[in-house]
Amino acid sequence: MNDDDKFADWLREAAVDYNTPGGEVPREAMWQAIAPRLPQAGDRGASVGGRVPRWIPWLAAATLLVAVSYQVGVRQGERGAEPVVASRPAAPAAGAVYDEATRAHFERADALLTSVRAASPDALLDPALHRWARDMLADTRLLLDSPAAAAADRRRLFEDLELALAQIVQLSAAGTPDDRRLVERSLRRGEVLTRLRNAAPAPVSGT
Amino acid sequence: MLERDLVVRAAAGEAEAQRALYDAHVDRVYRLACRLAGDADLARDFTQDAFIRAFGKLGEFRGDSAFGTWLHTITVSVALNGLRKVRRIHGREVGMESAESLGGTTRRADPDLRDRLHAAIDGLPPGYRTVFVMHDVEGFTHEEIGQALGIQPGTSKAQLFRARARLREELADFAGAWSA
Repeated sequence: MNDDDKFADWLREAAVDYNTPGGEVPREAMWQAIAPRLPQAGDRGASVGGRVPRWIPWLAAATLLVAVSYQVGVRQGERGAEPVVASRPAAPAAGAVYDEATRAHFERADALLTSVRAASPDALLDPALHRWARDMLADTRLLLDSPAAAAADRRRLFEDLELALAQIVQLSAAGTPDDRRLVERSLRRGEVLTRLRNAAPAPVSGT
Repeated sequence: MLERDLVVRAAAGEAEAQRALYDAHVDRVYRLACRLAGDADLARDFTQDAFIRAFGKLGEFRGDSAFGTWLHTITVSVALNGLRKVRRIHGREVGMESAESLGGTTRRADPDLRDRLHAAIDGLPPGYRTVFVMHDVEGFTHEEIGQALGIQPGTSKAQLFRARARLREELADFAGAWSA
C-alpha cells in the first residue's frame, strides 16, 4: 500500500465524525413542518402533469383581450365607423415575455462562456468575468424557478448552465489551471454552448 | 409495495404514500444535510426544504434514476444554495471561503489532529468539500455523486483527488499519523 492509499484510508477513518448528526433524527418534528406544504389529493395541481402553470391565466387574459378588441373593431367596421386603430401595440402574452427573457439570457450566457473559454487556462480568471458569471448564475436560478423553465428540455439546459456557471464562480476562490480545464471539459461534454445557441427561442416579432 | 408505485401515488397527493417515502429516505437525507451544513438547525431546514421541493416536483421525476438518487440531488442543491445564502449573510464577518478564518473558531492554541482535520475540510472549496463529504464520509459512489451534482463520475474522482491532496497539505504536520 503506497502513501496515498494509506492517507486515504486514514482520512476516511478520521473524518467519520465530521459534522456528525447528533442525537436522533427529528423525524416527527420535520414531518409536521413538511406535511401542510405538500400537494394533497384533490388539489388542483396535485396530479402528475396536471399542474396549471402560473402564466396560463395571464395568457388566457391576454388572448381574451385581443379577441374582444377584434370583435369590437369588426362591429364598428360593420356600422361604417372609422376603423379602430390601436394607439399602442398590445402587450405581449406572458409566454412571449418569458421566451424573450430566455433568449436574451441565453445570448448573454453564450457570450460569457465563450469569453471564459477564450481566456488563458493558465491565468487566474478575470474578476470581471467572475462577477459576470455570478450575476448570470443568480439570473439563471430566477429563470429556473419561473415558467421560462417549464419545458423539460429547456429546464435541463438551464440546470446545466447553472452548474457550469457555479463551477466558474468557484474558480475565482482557488482556481487552478486544472480546475479551468475541468470547467472546459464539462462545457464540452455537455455541449452547453451548442445547446444554448440552438435552444434560444426566436425573437418576439415586432420587438 | 414498489417504490415506483409509491412515487406515483405520492405525486397524486396521497398522504400515506408521501409519508412512506419520507420515512424510507429521511434518515439519509438528514444525515447528508448535517454533514454539509455542520449545524443541526440548518440541516433540519434543508431536509424539510428538500422534501417539500421533491414532493412538489414529483410530476417531473422521470424515473431515469432511483428516487433516492433524485432526492439526494435535490438535497445537495438545497443545502449548497442554503449555505451560499448563509455565507452571503455572514460574509462580512467571516471569510467563509478561507480555511484560516473558518478554522479559527475551532482551532485551539494547541490544536489536536481532529480539530485541524475538521477545519481543513471546512476550508475546502465548496465543490471539493461536497464531493469529499459525499464519498469519504457518507460513502456515496462516484456514479451517485455524479448524478447528484450533475457532473461526470470522472470529475467527481478528480475533485476527490484534489480535496485529499489539499487536506494532506493542510495536515502535513501530522504526517506520522497515517504513514506509521
